[in-house]
Amino acid sequence: MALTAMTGSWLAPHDPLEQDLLNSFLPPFWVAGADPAFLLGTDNLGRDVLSRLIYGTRVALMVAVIAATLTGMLGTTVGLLAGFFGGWVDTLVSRMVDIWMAFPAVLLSIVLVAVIGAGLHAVIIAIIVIDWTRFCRVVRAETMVQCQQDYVASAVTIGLSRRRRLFVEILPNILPLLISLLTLEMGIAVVVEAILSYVGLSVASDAATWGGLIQEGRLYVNQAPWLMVFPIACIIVAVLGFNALGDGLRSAFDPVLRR
Amino acid sequence: MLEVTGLELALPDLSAKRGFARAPLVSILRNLSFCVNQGESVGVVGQSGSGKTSLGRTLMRLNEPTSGRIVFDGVDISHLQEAELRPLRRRFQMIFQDPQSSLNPRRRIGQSIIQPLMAYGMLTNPQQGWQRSEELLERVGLEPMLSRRYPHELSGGQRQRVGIARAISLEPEFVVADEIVSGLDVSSQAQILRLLRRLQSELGLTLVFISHDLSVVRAVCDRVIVMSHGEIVESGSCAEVFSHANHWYTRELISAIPLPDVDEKWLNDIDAQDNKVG
Amino acid sequence: MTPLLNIRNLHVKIREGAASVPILRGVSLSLAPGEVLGLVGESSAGKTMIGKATLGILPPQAVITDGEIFFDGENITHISVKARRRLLGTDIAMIPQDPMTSLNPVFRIGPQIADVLRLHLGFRAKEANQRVLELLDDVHINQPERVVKLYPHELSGGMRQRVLIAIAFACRPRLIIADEPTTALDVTVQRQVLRLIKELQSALGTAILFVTHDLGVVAKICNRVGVIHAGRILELSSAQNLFKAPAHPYTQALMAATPRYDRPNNALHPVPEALVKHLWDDVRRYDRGDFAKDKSHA
Repeated sequence: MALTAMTGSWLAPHDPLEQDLLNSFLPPFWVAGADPAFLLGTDNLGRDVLSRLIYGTRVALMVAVIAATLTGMLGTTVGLLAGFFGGWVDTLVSRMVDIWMAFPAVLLSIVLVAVIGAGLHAVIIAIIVIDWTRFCRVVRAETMVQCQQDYVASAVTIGLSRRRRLFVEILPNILPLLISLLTLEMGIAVVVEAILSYVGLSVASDAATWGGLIQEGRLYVNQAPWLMVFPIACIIVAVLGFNALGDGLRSAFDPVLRR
Repeated sequence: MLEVTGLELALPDLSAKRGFARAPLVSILRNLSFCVNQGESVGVVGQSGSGKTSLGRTLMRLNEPTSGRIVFDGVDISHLQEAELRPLRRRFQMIFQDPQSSLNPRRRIGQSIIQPLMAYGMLTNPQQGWQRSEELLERVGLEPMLSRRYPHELSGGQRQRVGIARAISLEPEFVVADEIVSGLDVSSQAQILRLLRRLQSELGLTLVFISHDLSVVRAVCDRVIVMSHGEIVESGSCAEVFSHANHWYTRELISAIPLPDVDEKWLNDIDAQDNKVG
Repeated sequence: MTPLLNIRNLHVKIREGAASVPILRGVSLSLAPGEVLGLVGESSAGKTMIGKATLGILPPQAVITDGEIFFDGENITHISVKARRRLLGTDIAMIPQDPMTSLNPVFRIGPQIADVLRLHLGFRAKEANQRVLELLDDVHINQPERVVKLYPHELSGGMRQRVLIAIAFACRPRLIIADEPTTALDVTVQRQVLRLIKELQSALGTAILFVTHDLGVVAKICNRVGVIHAGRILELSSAQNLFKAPAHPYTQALMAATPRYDRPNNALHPVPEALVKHLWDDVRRYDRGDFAKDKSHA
């Protein structure tokens, strides 16, 4: 996916924005009546589906990585602090998370985008604002579990400061969980981006995004089903890919799993 | 070396928390007073809920006492803050019960062992660190090459010995051992106990040995303190307590231990009233 | 007289990844009706596996590769799930090790005991509830009417274990596998529970296969004792003989490693590495007579 996103401009056989009304609604290459120049067919305006998908990859990947990372950073920091310090910090954070999660996510994101204005940055901010609670809750719980472990008490007996205990002892043990959450979040980010661009709240409507493609394809689903099928397939592959990445990273970096 | 007077500890009982009110405090340790002389090994025995583990942790200042005093070598450590405690901490160390959780699972053994040394800035370079860790491993009877492994690659007995190596790395004067042989096979247990005795004489350690197993305490300690429900029920030299216990609880505890001798009367030798529970 | 339980040359292996690790390497023992046989050994010696194999509840990676288990003359080594269900609970029952996790935390005590009665003996609700009260009385729990309404976490460890004993004895089985039933208990509670088990056992004539790592417990409650290590039974004799004069070097080593509060001057000797190694390489089962003849292992 990363490769495709980076080399998109060379890879794509056509300019995704180029419209060619003469060649509209061409089916994908394995169906009769197709034009091999347009491998996956074209849409209603004659734009090449394959090229648009490839450019869409770029958007999806950017959103996934940036949004997931920032969400993770925010959620983890708050979760760690809440779990480690407990007391009023924890109560405050927990109540905040509860209230936050009570807002319907989709509505919140729509409102946000309406306020900030459409565009990729809006999508990313929307994801961060909504999903940091996911990280926070899980990291808080895991931190609390780790705090109970004797190796933390052991660190106290040799006089390690609280900051060192948190970052040097506990954090590495939270890492595997974080990796899983991050890759999960990347998958979610892709889907959220698709939803938002489906609703037209993401980037400009003729730029290529998977969600936008689905939205356009919806109108022609009877004539040209491939217009919807391919972008959906891309999303599925992307999410599965992120999950596999997460599993792989955990196996590679976690000494406990590595036997 | 250690003098405890009127020690009390009360902790919030989270299971009894109702609504938004504060959790009620439950008394864990009540008015404990005892001393430990230099070079002695004192056993603390009790069944579950007796407060013996809490006592160990409080002595290590992992908990702050609610009232009473703990005086370590003349210094009152009962309510010192972390910063003031830090220089003293290297003189009293703890060996923890669960070899599974007392070592950071994502650190190599060698790193865990020298962590105390590093915390006190006693190592100048990483090379020296690995060297020290190998020396300490040998001291506790383990192969030096284990220092590159992770805790989950070792057996329970080996992990426990790593815990001991770590505890003695700073050459403390006073060590609290909290149920360190509880999860181990009788053979590993024998190895650890022998090691402990040897180290105690080599390093001149003062030892507080917490255990629920009276037979183990008898094998390791000079004196014993018997606890029940947060209070000291009896204390004295092992020889005395085991042959002529004063308190009925101590007697009951000792007679409940099944010795490896066939004895048909042992099962029936209980007061009738003990038999109904509920 | 046919032994109630007869295990012949049992071999069990566990699949770990690509390899197959032997856990039991030719275990043979027999249990007469009403007898209490102790199986003592260190952890991972295989003693729990023997009980599980008899009950048919070996973990999925474990397989019986050879040998047979006979219950009252019937070969139960590889019987069908249906047939086994008929046996378990009614003829063979288990007292599990950990009272904390063996009871379902979301159900009250009463229904958990009643379940067994309804399932195996076909009791109806009202009869079952009545019987539950009687069973709780058998295990000497005060105010059974109050206890049946409690959840497991509201009971002490000792009481939970008594409930498990009540469940085990509920259908009056002929054989009970007791898997370290007192290991998790305080020593004073252990004594009461052991006494209870003995009381019920002699009143009902139940045979018990008592698995434990504690030599002391075995000495107090068992008629015969088998010492197991490295997947084999090293010594099997009456409790009297075993403790008076243990024949096998491993048994002697175990006793030398066990601390005794009445013999404080005994040095504790861990089992010698060489002996352990030897046991894994080659072992013959030692009866008292065997050892007397075979001096090379002295």
